[in-house]
Amino acid sequence: MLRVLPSKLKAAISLVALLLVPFGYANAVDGNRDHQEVGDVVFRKLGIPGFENVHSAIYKGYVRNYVEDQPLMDYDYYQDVIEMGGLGGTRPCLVIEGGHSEWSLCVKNWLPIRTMDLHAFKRANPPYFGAFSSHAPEDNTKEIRANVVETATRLMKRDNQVVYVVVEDQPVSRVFDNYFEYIKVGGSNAIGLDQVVRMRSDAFVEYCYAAAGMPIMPYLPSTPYDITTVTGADALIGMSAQGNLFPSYQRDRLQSSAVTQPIIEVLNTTNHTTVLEGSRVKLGSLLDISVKDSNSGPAKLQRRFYNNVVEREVYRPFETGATLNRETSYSFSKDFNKLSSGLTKFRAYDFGGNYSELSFNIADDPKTSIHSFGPLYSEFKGISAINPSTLERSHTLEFSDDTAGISSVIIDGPQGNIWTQTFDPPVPSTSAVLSDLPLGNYTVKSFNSVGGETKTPFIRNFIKSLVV
Amino acid sequence: MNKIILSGLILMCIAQTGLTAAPIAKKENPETKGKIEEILAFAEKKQNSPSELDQAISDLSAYLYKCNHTDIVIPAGIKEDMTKRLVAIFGRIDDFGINRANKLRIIELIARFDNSPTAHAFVLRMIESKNAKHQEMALWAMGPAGVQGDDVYDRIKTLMDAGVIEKDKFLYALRSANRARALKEIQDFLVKTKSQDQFVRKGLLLCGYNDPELLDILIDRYSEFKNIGPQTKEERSTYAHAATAFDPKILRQYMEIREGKRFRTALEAMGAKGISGNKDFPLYEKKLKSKNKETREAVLDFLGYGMGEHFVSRGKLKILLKGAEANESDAKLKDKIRQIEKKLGGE
Repeated sequence: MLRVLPSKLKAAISLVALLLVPFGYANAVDGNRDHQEVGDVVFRKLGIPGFENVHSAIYKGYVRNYVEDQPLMDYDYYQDVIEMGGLGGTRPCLVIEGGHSEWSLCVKNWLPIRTMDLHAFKRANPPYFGAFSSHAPEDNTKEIRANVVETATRLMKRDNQVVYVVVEDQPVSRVFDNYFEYIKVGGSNAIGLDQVVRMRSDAFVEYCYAAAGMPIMPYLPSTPYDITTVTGADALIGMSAQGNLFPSYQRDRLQSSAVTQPIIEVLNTTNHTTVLEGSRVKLGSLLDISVKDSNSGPAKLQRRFYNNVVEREVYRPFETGATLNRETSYSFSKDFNKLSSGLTKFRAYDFGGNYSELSFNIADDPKTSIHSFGPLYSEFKGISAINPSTLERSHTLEFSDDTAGISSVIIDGPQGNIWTQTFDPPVPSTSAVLSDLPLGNYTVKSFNSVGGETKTPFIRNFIKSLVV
Repeated sequence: MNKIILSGLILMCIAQTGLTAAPIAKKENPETKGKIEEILAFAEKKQNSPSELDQAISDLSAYLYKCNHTDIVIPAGIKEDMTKRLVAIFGRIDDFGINRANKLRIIELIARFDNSPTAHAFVLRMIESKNAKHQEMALWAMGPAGVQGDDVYDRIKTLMDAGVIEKDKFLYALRSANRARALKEIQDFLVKTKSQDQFVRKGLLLCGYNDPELLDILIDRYSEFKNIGPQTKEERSTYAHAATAFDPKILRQYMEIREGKRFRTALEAMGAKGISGNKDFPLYEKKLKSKNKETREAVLDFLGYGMGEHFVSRGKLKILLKGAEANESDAKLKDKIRQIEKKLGGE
């Protein structure tokens, strides 16, 4: 019954070495190294000398409130993972047995369940193997993902700390056959958070997933070992005691995380149309903006500005007037009359740091200039309230709209319609020359592609002109 | 060794047949005494070999856990004898290298699995130890399967009041010693704390009582902490939103029994967790029929926020709102329902 340490230690080392390749440690498919969703399992190299395997953690997501206005939410430093810290360090120790001794590795210190940024996690022991999620699509909903993080967070904050499977000065080899300890209370088969005593890093991940209803470790694909039950936990503990349960098994039972970007939806409620990428919107339109993300939840909407000082694009938070949380969709509203015309670019982030962009143009009314001997109108926009007089017989008219383009021009005079021109596609600018105009009232109307109208009336009045 | 593998195989076989564990009556195992005796005898024999002692303690730990999981009762006399012999080993070994770990694990085994007078005496001694790690281990390992009771409670409380034991850090040990008596201490602590971190930790401790009636304290202070984020890198390493203080299961029970402002706060906390799902739909449906206007309004605000898509499909939500609109007597709330319906759009 009793096992003697040195031989056990050697057996453990050789067993690990034997098991690594057959169970896919060396040949496992990588996960998503660049992107992730909230609740994904992230893996990196374990980094214990002589015990090559992987170390896993739960991806928590973007850190809300810590660096609220950071423009680069996708930067790893602003993403967090929650891990059972595990071995903080090792040191050589002398193992004595039966009169002879040999050097082994002992635990210098261990680290509790904690949060660290993704950048630090990746750097701790490269390589980083990426983010993984469940094979079953129905397990990857935002609700389940949020539950995974919820359990991880509660385990981290438990007042009587959940501790690692080894204590300081114990031989490191204990890590490989100690997986999970719990105390059973009463007759229930369930193992609640309060009953957890010790966890290895992979047991921590396993518990978080099982508590959300999707255990990772099966003995058959259809029959999981649920670590939150006495039956399942004891089966896993039994596997571990036989040296047959390693963190890499967990990775092999997950798939590379299929990341989705948040969707920005802009509805123009003035004309009930959806604003598409590259489209144009009339200044003053009422827009409803919503951001949807069914995996990590929408986190932030930002608007692009061009900073002339640093000569680059900068993104600033779009005012929402409310605190976002991890819902699947969130509606933003804004008085768009306050937005200036020109290119408008939005960037939406989800809580996984994934983002998408939507650009469209907000167009003012077209500009009209009317010149005779002197200017009647100079780059005028909108409906003119005045009706200037002129004595000149000839006029040059210029129409321009860099944003929405000129779609039509209509010139009416005392004799009726003088000129009507439509442009399909709209043109950035056009011009016309009117000569030999008879006396009377004239109206020059230009339209852009989003329905913006500029109206510039004038009178050709010979007498009044002479007086002037 | 062979026996350990066999027992492991038996466990595997049970799991593979798909059997679920039925409640097992407390039972005595005639082999228990022999097994514990065998391990202890080996430990005593190898007490001068730290690594072999480590192995013996690991085997003993694994066996005691197995008994706990399988409801095998270890007679009190056997456990007290075990404690006496472990205490003797504890006193004889040095405090260097692997033996430092052995000492800690002896404290753990005794505190976790034995509630005999000998175990009490030993744990009380450790609680007052100047060795901080020994003290911490004794406080941490006490609990329902091991050392507990008024004597331990009183000693810890006295030391806390004297500032010898940190209250912030070890309040949970009072609960381990005497669950009922510790409740008032936890409640008093939660009323006074100004720390967001402690609010979450002690909130979870309070939720461990599995009584939704106790949650008022947390609900009433939630707004003080909900907007506090981590300010430093150190805080970030253990940061959790204030809503983490609530066990979701207890919070859902609380939402069933509370109305008005407190219900609204509970709903807000649930929203902040982001875990509300289809299973909460009946609760929201029920609360929309509440006689309390603020309760109904809170549900509508929650549904309107993010269009309720975080927990239920649009179609289901529309049906729910249609029913609510028909039953709603308050004009303002009726209008609110219509606004949500309008935003949901279409039929």
